[in-house]
Amino acid sequence: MSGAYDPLMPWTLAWLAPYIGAAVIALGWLLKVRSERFYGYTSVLSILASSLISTYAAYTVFSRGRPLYSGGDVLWVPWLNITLGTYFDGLSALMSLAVSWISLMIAVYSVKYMEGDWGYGRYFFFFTFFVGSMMLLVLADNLVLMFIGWEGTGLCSYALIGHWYTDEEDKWVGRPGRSALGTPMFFEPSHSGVRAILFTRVGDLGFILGIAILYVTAGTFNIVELAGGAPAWMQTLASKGVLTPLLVIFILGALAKSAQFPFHEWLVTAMTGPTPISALIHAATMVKAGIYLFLRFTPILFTGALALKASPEIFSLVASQLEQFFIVVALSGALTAFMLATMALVSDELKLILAYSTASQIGYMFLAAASAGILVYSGTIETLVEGVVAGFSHLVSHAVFKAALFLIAGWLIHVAHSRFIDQMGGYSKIKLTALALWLSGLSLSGIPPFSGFFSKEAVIHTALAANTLLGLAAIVTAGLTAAYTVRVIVRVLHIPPYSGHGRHKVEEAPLTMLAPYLLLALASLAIGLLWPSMAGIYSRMGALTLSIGELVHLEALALSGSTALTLLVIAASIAAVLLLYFTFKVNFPALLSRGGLYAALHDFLYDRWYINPLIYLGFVNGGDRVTRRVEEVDNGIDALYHSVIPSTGSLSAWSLRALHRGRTDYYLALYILSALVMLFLVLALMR
Amino acid sequence: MLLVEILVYAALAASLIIPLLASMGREMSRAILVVSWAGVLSFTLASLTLLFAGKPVEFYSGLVSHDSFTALILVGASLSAILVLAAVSLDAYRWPSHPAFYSLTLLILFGVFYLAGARNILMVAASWLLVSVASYVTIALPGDRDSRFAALRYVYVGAAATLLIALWLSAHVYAGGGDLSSTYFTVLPREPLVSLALTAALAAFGFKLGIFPFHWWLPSVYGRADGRPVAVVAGIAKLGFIGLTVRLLVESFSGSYEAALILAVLSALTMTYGNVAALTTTDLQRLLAYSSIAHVGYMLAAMAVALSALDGQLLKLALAGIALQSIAYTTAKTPLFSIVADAGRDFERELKGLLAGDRAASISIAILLASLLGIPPLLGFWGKLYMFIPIAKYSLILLAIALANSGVSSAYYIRALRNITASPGEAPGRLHDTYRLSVILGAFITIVLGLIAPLALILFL
Repeated sequence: MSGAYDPLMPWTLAWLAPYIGAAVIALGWLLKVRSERFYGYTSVLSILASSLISTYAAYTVFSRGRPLYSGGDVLWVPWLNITLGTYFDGLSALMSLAVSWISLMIAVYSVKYMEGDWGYGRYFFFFTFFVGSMMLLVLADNLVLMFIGWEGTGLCSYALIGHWYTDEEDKWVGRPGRSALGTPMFFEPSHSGVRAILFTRVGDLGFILGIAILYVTAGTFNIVELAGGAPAWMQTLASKGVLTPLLVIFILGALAKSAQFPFHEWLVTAMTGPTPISALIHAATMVKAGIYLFLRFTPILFTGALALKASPEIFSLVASQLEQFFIVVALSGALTAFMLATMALVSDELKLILAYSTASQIGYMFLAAASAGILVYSGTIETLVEGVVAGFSHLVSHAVFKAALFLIAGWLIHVAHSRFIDQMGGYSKIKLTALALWLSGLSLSGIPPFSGFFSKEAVIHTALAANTLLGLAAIVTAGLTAAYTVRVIVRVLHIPPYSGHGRHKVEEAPLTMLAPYLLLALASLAIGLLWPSMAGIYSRMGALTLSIGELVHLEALALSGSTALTLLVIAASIAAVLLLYFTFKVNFPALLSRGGLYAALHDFLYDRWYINPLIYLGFVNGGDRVTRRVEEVDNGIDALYHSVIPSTGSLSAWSLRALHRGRTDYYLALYILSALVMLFLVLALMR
Repeated sequence: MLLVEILVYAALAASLIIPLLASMGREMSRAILVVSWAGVLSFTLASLTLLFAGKPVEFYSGLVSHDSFTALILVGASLSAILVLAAVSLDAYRWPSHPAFYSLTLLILFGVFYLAGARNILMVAASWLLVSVASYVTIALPGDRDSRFAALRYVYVGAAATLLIALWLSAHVYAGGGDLSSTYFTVLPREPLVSLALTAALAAFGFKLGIFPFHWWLPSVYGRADGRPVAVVAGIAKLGFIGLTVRLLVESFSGSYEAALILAVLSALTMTYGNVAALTTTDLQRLLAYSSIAHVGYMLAAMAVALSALDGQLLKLALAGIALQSIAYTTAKTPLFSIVADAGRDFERELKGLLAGDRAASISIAILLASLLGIPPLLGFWGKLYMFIPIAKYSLILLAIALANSGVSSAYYIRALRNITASPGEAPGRLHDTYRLSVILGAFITIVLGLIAPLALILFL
């Protein structure tokens, strides 16, 4: 870092422009502007401004070869030394590029998609506010500012998941009436919104606690300073034996935000929101905030430990605790990837399948970076860069093809008037949409030469290097991913619907909706085709990223036995799906109605491994029971105040007054008696 | 202080002229009122002169002496007289005993000057009888059945109390070796006979102030007789007894742990009895009667502190508290007892929704009730504060009991307030002008004195 900071403007506008857009929208709403265009265009324009500035910033960073840091000297909260800094390094520059441009595409799509919606203005307010918050969390130079963006995205997510808060049944997620272990497994938009904010809140508590502990230990919120001082504060925490728990607590927010086990439940039900929101927030951007934070801190922690290598004892102390932390994250990632992929296999709701897939793919990203971290003992900067780049490249690949998939889903659900895939079918006649679905689906499946293939390959490679079992889990998951993806494509495009449903007019989406998803699908292919250049860009990114700063030349693709194995597994699972549908023409609903092992397994997966019911039985119902006990105590207190005390009071008042009956002789007698009693008392006391 | 003597005699003269004026025919009623006002104002002037004298003033070679504490008591009695006269105005002239009310009110006021300032046992006996007899008669004046029966009860129990005071006096004569002229109250020796005398004194003063368990007559008299004579007895006469009791206790029992303990226990019982009994009544006059018992309970607690206080500052603070509380008590109780006679006593019926019919009066009533409850910055708050601070130093248990009682009392004060401010049941009531004037004046005094009360400390500290 050079001492001088870059100017505040225009760089700050990268996150400020959408906020300004949101403010203008809010103002328009207050002034009762009726035109839908006003809201839609304001949103699109402000996000476009953000995209252009991010692009210019990324260009600047990559061309001049050093990070761009503006506003690091603009104090916001002086006594905590919190600045209004915007920090573009390799990682945040590319991340902001992905976030802003994908957001722009989806904003354009939304203008048409949300046409005539009763909450149009509200939708665009939260949409735009969300983009601002997301950009802020990516670009903030300190944890407090980042946390503000972080919470901003959470707030918008809550509002947008519950956008249709009047809870009409066609906006639900899950089959109405279905329950598992006595817990309902269908969710209304308003319920889902609350779930999202509560699930992520648990993680956020950890995050804010972690921020506080980091501040107390390192004395700064500034991420750049935290990176510089990492060896010192890591050593302090490790010497007290608390480095692992602290980091786990710190990263809880990231796991929750990115819907990793055991926090994944909120994401699947978040599909009650409008489909562009599922695409934007719950696939391409917000859920990536968690993995972004992890990618941001993995190099800081890794190089912080490496810097201690000079004194082997301290290094060993720090590295052993760091390794434990990365193992926890890697296990969470691998488990989420596998578990959610199995759920996607049997689900029959289009958006739900994509949601499972999202959590599963993010699991890959955590697995990649954490695998590099596990190798901290023996690893070098190369190991680190490979892991981080694998995670980040998969993030970009996924953002592109998953955004496309969701936008396509939005159109298909519109066409079918149903969210269930069994009620869709035969949509191969809408050729461009079908093409887009195939392109993005193949990318998700990890078929060469799509981007998904390369990035997933990198993840599996890193995971195998760290631990064979982790690698195998990743390979199996790749097979499952290909299976459920092809199942969806075949089901939706190439065979007729199971029920008589789906006899609606089937047509291509309007251009403003078609173009975004077609472009994204093509981009997913293009990124794959250009992978050698992309690898170069990612290498440069590594070199320009905080705490790395070293150019590591990455192989575009390291072909190995594992690559062949992965491709074999993927091919086998695709073949299996095609055989089941086309050769054996298996009627799955009929099979299901027969019961038996297949149905039992189906139900287990369909009901999401019973994790939701267990959470509800344990936490929600447990909390409910506690509430009821407290209510009983409260009723007791209430009775005490409203019955026992008043009736005791009135009874004593009445009986005391009853002594005064108005008889003179009686008063005289009482008076004399009292005097006598008093005399004895005084005599006793005065003796 | 010749001036003070002249002013006090002027009050007595007014009291004596009134029957003469009355004998000249009914048309003299206005003249009687003017003379009454002259007597009351003359007495008020005497009290204020004493208050601003800045030092204790002796009369009749020390047989009567007034310091700043008793001066404040006399000011309280004067204010009470002003408020009751403002309220009653010419109304008492309609009673069968028409001029007696004006005459006796002034006579009681005159007696209070000697009662509160008495430093000699014979002076105590004389002023005691003067004020007592005048009080008994005053209660009977309206002539209605309730008032006559109340007066009868008052006389009966009062006669027993007077016998007991005679017993106490003889104990003093015995302890003082037969000297009747001493101008201080002898410290009594610890003998069984003296214990008897002490009990007698306790019962007699307890009777006058309404201390548990000598209060039996009080709800019956304060609660049932016509409110206007009650205002005189509760507002003027009672203050004289408070002044005398405090002086006697401090001079005879200062430093006596046992006496303080007895007072503390009696105070706790008295305030609790009064507050609990008042809790559910819907009769404003009865509520005021029981709350009078409770207020004496608070004062008794401060008296216990005054006895035990070896620290002069604490003693002064306790005395300041009792004096301010007495004034707060009398400026609130006098108009409230008076309006019951005018507007009715049941606050769930006659007084309900008074706010709608009579805004100024209702707000004034609210202020007076709030002062009795001890809401800052009204006078009642300062009285309680100055009493409770020394109580805290004496015994935290006693303080807790006093605070809890104060909390309990809020229940009935607020209930009364709520009814007065509720929407009216039938036609909203309205006070007659003189009663309105009295209650508004009372509220005004309560606020103004509340604002300058912190300065009153200067008189003592």
